[in-house]
Amino acid sequence: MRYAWTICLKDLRQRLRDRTALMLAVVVPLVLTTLMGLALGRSESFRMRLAIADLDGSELSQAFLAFVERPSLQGIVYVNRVDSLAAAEAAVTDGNAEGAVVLQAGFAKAARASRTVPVEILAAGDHPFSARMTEALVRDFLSRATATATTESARAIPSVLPLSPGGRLRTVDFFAASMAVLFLTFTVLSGVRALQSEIDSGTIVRLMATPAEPVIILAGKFAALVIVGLVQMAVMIVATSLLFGTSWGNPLPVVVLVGTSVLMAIGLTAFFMSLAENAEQGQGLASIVIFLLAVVGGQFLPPQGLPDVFETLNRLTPNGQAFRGFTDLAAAAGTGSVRTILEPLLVTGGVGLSGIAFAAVKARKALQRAL
Amino acid sequence: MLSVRGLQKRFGARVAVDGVSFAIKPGEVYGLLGPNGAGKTTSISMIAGILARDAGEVEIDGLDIDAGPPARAQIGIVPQAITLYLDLTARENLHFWGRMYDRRGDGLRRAVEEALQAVGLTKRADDVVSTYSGGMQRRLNLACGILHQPKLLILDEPTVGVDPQSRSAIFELVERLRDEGTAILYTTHYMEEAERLCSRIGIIDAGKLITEGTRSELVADLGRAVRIEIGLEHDEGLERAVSVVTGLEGVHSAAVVAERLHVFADEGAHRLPPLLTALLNTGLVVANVKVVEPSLEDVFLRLTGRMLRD
Repeated sequence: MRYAWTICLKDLRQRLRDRTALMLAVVVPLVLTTLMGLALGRSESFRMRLAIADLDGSELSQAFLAFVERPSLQGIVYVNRVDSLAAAEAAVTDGNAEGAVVLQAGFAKAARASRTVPVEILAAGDHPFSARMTEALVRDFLSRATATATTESARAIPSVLPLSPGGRLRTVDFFAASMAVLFLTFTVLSGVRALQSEIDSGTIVRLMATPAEPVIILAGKFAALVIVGLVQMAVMIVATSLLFGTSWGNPLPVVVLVGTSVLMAIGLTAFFMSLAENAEQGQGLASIVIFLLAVVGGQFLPPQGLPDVFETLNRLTPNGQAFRGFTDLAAAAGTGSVRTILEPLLVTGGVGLSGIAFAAVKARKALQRAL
Repeated sequence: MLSVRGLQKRFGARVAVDGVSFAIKPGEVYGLLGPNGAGKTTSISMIAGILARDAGEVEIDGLDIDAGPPARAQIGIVPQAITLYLDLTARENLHFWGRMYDRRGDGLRRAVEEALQAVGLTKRADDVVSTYSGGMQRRLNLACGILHQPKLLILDEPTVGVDPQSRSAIFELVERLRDEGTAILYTTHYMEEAERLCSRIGIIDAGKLITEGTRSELVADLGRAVRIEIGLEHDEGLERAVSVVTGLEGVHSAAVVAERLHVFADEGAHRLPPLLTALLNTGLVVANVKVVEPSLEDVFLRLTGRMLRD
């Protein structure tokens, strides 16, 4: 492992010497987080009072109440149980609740039969985000309930909106997670580009002539990429916590997600780099794709007022999944676990490993051509 | 020190190296000569253990190259390309490559200083390599290959694109290493380099080692043959001239080199009259004629029908 460590240290020294990469890794994301937080920070905090009328009285409607009152939403959603549609309407119009959900009789039957469910969602006109969140909660619950009817009961519940603990949705927190994920990919890209440059310049071939075995050389290179990614994420997490008071949630799952996100960033950038003819072209291609993925993954705009399609697109992109995972953990505060972010973990880890495997095969062919 | 037997490599249907065999003793510089694409770099890659071979055996100091790290540790390789980290200093590059060959601590520091001195880069040791001239980068490229004092040094076209000063410095270093007992495999397509440095030369073409020996042995094989260089009044007739003289009695080969017709023929002086007559009969006007003593270039021309730098 001495050879791997030597290679890793050399690569880290090169990364540290690259002032542009350092700016991209730390300074730019922090500045952007601050600027975007200030520019788009109109809705600085969020706390929703929700009136719920259970007119169905079924097990499913009780489950909905439990779902809304679950620990991760405590401090964000305050439930006020009412007994009629009129009472729900009154709660909203009198300003005692920002939103209301009325589960009409037949709610459970309709849900199980996959018919349109009789649910009324009421929201205060001056709280469009509350309306959106209420609707999202209901949709979320129904998709889970439908799934549990046919599959397993332990399915993870995907949260819909990035809510920071304590019931406050702060734009700066949103951008802290978003910029961390976005610039993690760019930071790792500069490392992957350096690896491609080694193939282009022939230094990798010279390395292969040393006593180090190829797998050890790759291990050294990979370790450097991982360390760069981990350090970048750690700096972002610590800096946003200190500067903006952002809480990222339960440390253990955050660390696990940071790990798979770094893997995702390496796999994603290595995949696109391997499709190119050389390092320059690869960096250009990967940069464009990363930027597009960030747009599609919803990393540039906070969710308020965006169409639902962004929710779907967000889940289809690996960076969006990483971002979703971090915001879910933040929303769940100290109660978040690996289970909370199972989907983001699987997607980011899977994309990472697949991308690395693909790039390794392509790199092997490129080396054979170089010889 | 190095023993290569029946080396073979195919890339699909193309045979890149076909049964190459040779040996190098300690303190010997062996020149592997051949044009681009002849199989020199592929042979080197197999000898260095970078590229898997299809057949053949490679032994370094009695160790099979398949032994892996112990065998590769005996080799220093200087690739044709500049394989350095341009954003690191010369000293950092040397430290890195030294560590990759298990040099550590004071021994490594001493070896780095010696290598810097050997290639005349001590004063610029702490400058990043991207600020170096091409010649300086070449010298550092060489230094990185000799730092760990290998028993076998492989130099793949080490003087491509260098200034005369750096070329001279590289020659002196190669000669010093040879005198210290290092076995050196030197590939080039510069005849003058091979003639100056190599005690034995192997000529490789289309993947085959077509001959080998000392310079004197190779030239002696040509017998009384000479090279006749002919300049024509009009250059456009050169290709036609090649076809006119090819096949004449005593003519081994003919080629166009630097806008002159090079004819390799037995007993040159005697062959001149029929040669000139044949050209004149086809309307080609001869401007000047020169008869040259044979060189390695002529050996190559005779054996392959081509010039080395074609």
